[in-house]
Amino acid sequence: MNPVEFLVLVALAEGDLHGYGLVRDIEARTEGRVTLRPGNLYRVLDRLLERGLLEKADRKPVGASDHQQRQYYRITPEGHRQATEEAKWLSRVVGAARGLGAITEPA
Amino acid sequence: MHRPSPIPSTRWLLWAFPRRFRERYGQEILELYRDLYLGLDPRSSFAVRLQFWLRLSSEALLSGIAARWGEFTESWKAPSFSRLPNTRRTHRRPLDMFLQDLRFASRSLAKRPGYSTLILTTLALGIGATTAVYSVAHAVLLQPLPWDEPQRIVHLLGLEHGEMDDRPTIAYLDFDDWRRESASFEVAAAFDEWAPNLTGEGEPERLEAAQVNIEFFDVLGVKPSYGRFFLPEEDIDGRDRVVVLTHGLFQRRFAADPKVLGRSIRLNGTPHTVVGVGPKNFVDPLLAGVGDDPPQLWRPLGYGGVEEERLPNRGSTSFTAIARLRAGITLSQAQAELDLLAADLELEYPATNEGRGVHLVNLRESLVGNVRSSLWILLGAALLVLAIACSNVASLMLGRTAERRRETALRQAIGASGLQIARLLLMESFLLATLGGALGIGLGYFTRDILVAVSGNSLPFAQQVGLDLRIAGFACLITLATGLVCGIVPALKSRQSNLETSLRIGSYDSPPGRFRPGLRGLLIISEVALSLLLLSGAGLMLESLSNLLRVDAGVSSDHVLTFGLAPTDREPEKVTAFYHSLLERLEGLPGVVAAGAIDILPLSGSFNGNSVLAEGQPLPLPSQEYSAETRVVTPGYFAASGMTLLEGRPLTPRDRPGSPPVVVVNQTLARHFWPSKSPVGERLQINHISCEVIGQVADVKHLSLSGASPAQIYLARDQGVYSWLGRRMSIAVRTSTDPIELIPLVRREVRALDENLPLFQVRTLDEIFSNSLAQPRLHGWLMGSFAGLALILAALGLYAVLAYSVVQRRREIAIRMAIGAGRNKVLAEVVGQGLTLVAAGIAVGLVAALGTNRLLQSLLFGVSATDLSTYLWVPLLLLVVALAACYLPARRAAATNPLDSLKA
Repeated sequence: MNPVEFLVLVALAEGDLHGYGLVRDIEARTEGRVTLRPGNLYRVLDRLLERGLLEKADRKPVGASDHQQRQYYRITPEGHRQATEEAKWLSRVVGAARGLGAITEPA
Repeated sequence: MHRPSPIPSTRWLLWAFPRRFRERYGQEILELYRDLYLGLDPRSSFAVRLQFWLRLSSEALLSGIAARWGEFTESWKAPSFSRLPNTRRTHRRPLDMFLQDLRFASRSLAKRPGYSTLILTTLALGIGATTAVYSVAHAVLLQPLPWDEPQRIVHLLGLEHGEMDDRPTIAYLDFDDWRRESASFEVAAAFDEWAPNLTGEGEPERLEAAQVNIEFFDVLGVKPSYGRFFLPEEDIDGRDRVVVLTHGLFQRRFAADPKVLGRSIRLNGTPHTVVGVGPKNFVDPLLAGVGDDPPQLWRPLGYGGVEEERLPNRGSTSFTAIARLRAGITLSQAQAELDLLAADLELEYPATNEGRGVHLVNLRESLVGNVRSSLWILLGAALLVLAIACSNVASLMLGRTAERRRETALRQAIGASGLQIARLLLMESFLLATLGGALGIGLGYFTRDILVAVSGNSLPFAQQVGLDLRIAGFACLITLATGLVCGIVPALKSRQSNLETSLRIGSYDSPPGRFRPGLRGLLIISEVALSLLLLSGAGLMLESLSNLLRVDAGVSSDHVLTFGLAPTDREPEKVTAFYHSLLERLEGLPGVVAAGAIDILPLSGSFNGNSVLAEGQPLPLPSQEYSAETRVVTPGYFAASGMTLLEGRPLTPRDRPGSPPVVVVNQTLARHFWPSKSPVGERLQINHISCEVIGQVADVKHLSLSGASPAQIYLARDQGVYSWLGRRMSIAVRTSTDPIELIPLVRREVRALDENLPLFQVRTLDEIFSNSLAQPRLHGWLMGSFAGLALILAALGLYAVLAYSVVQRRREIAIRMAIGAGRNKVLAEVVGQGLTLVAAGIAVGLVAALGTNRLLQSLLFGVSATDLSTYLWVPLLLLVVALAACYLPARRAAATNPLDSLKA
């Protein structure tokens, strides 16, 4: 699983999102370091859909007053499971790095 | 709420994405664009907005390409057997995918051995033929020569009144003047033939050799492999008893032992010191026509510092010259300069140099010029065969694609994409092409050896025809191209299959109706057309060959043994006596009918010309002097060679020194001077000597079978009318038995008279004639083989198309037979369909052939490129063969049992 895919799953773990929502969420989460472009985003979504880690949710308006509809995406149980695995793996890596004295922030 | 700025239409941004992607996510992506745009700061300037869209469109482009690439590599994966969402598809390494595909393709090929073998054979033949011809063409025409900067080396050819002889030699003094006065040459060298007898080293042997200016090796830019070349002080008469051996002679007679340097060998009885050995793989610039061997060693001309009076006079033109152009001088510049110099010489020496010119030709060109066109023609023919082979293979593969539609559809239903299936077909085709190519290359090497053997001396550089990386590379290229061409059409077609209709039962029947051969039919038509092209070309060449074989050469070549002698006695009387005794002894041998000598045998090289005047007729202008080929013979030669006497008598022993000079003329000369009466009794002035014409013989083809016969005269050797009284003669012995059996007896007789005298060029007259036909025979043989191959391939292709169509239309045929159509009707219909294709192919082919066969004209003898009879029997042959090819499928169609077919 590559980092972008992980970020998407993490974003969706907190609730369904549509395309624009994902872009903004990940941007905020990484403090502006990762801004997904549309083409890239949808290729990632396509891949995750194929692998069954996501599913398409409803198509509904974004805000209460908006007439425009957007396609929302939802994480699947399998997606949840794999994201959790990935997170555990990453934290083990961080732990090892801490052992090297590379990271001094509290856990 | 609305924003002030309008949103531009963005649909076009998605063009780079694959269709599937666009269908699924296109709308969402556009919505995202909108959202992102609306998310911009409303106070952003135009520049910021522009930058936004630029960034977006470039990302769209790159992502689109990435998506397409992703799809392509996705297709390398094995098809998954389930489309359930939680199936994990493993991503495999490209190599694994490739091997998997390879295994799959080879399995599917192995399941149909007949089809695969057919394709393999077809490809092997096509690729093999092309490789063989190309390797020859490469060696002769393209391979770099082992000389330094060969494009700067030129051959100086002598012209007489603007025309070149067969052997365009020049006078040494002319050459010397040109060399001195010209600014175009960096270095130039002349050389003359020399043929000494090598004795004292075991078996005596007459060697072909050359006497050269010492600059000879500088012109070619070569270095010796042992020792050195000649020094200026060795170029002086008296100090020039030195030789340089060629590497070939060095290996053959001196066992490649470097100790031969400094040793002395006897040439014509005189000791010569060996000072060096020439380079390995040397290509001699004196590769002349048929029957000539390159020199085996060199010695200096010895003209260094010699006064002009002692050099060969300007009248005798027997030298060959080559030169290296100065850097920066072009051929045309040098030519222009030499033209001026030649004109100057014409004015200075009007007696000898009138009408004399020189023509400069790049050396390689002058050696291969006359085979160039024929080699390209042969290569073209080989490529045609390959084209036919490819189209056959494509047609076969197309047939298989349609047959496999069901299987393909099934595969698609369980997840293989169209791209994947197309790729499998391409893999199959590449596999076939590679195997076929490997077989073909092997076949090509084998054929190449035959080619070289058959062509004999007529192919310059033939010994350099080797296995080259370039040739292997060419063959691989051809193979890959073939694979691509054969595979791509079926691969593309396979993507079009409609899933639903393909899965229905009985779906591989085509809809009823007219015979629609479609693409395959087109392929057949083109194959037939190409075959016609090849067949007509081959027909013309074979006819040309048969014409040549039927030419009346003026001599009877059967049962005649010939050989050459070059006695080294200095005194002419001794040589004459030698020949007398020898001929007497030879005539006494058992089985010998007659024996005679001639200076140059027919079809064995150049001639000596003399100008001839008829007494009692007005003198011609100097530039219109009549020249006749002159042969010096002994009386026995007429009977030995079987010349036809038309009038008068041949030479006899009565015609001796001291008796009145006589001459025998040929028809051409007689007709020229005395068109309405007999030449016997008339007188001719030859070399300022008045001779009586005693007989007339039929024309003899001395120079070539295809050329016209010029005037020829025969003088008695003993009478010395012709000032040249050389020592070298060729002996012809006619026997009633096999001439080969005579050889040991002949050797014994010669040795009895002179122990150290070698015989050379021992062959029968039949052999000489046969060698002169080597090139036309090669052409006929090759073109004939190509044409035969093409015919077989086209017939097979036709058979396959028809057989397939019959199978496809089983139901329709069955129905029609069930309702009363007779067997014969069905038979006739199928045959008719096949013949329609063939007729179309013939029509196209005829037009093409009439256009392109003109290119062959230079190779034809006695037949025009538009010879009507060829264009009649070739289509007829094609029709007959096509009939045979149609017959089997037609019979199978007619034998259809209606009930069985309808049940399926």
